[in-house]
Amino acid sequence: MGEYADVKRNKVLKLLKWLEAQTGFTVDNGGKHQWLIKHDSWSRPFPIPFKHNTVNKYIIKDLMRRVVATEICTKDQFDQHLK
Amino acid sequence: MPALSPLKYKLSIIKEAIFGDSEIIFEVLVANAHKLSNPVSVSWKRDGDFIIGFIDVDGERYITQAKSAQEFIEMVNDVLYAVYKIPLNYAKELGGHYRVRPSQKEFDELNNTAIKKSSFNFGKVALPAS
Repeated sequence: MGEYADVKRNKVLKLLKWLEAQTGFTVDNGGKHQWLIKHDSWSRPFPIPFKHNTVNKYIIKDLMRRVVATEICTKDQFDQHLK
Repeated sequence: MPALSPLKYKLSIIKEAIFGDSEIIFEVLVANAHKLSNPVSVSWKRDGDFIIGFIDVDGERYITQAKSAQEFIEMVNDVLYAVYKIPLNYAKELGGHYRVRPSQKEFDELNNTAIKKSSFNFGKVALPAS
C-alpha cells in the first residue's frame, strides 16, 4: 500500500482544520461517525470515518489523491499536515 | 459548521435527539428514500485489524473501515446516510444501520477471518409505502 500508514484520528482532525481554511473546501460532520470533506469541484463529499482511534491508510491515500487533484497543495505539503 | 471532534459531534447528536424536531414528514421521507434507492456494490478486504470497504454507488466510490462484520454493515449504511445528507431521524425510519445488508452467507464471510476479501451487491431498495 505504498508509503502510507494508518493515521491517528487527532492528526486527521488537524489536517481537516487546515483543509477547511483553504479556498473551495468545507468540512462538516454527517451520519453518526463521519467527517465530510466537500470541494466546489466535487459532486459528492468525501467521508472519513472517525469511529476508531486511527484512520486506515487506504482512506488517507485516497484523500491525498483527491486533495492534490484540486491543486490546493502538493503531496509533500499534504503529508506535512498529517505530521 | 466546522468539523467537530467525535465527542463534540456525539454531544450535538444527543442534543438534537432531545431538543430537536423529531417529526417525520412522509413526503420528506420518500424524497430521502429516493436518494438511497440506487444499487450499491460493496467490495471489502482485510487490512490489519480493519475490514476496509469500497462502496460504489451512483458512479462514486467511498471507502470505509470497521473492526467487525456487524460494525462494517453499520459503517456502510452510515456512509450512505452521510453523503446523501439524510437526517438521523429519517435514517432511523429508513432502516437505520441495516437498510442495506448482505445475505447470511456474505455476512458469514465477513465474520470469517480466513476469507481476506469478497464483495456483495444490493439492488434497488423499495420506497416506503404510505
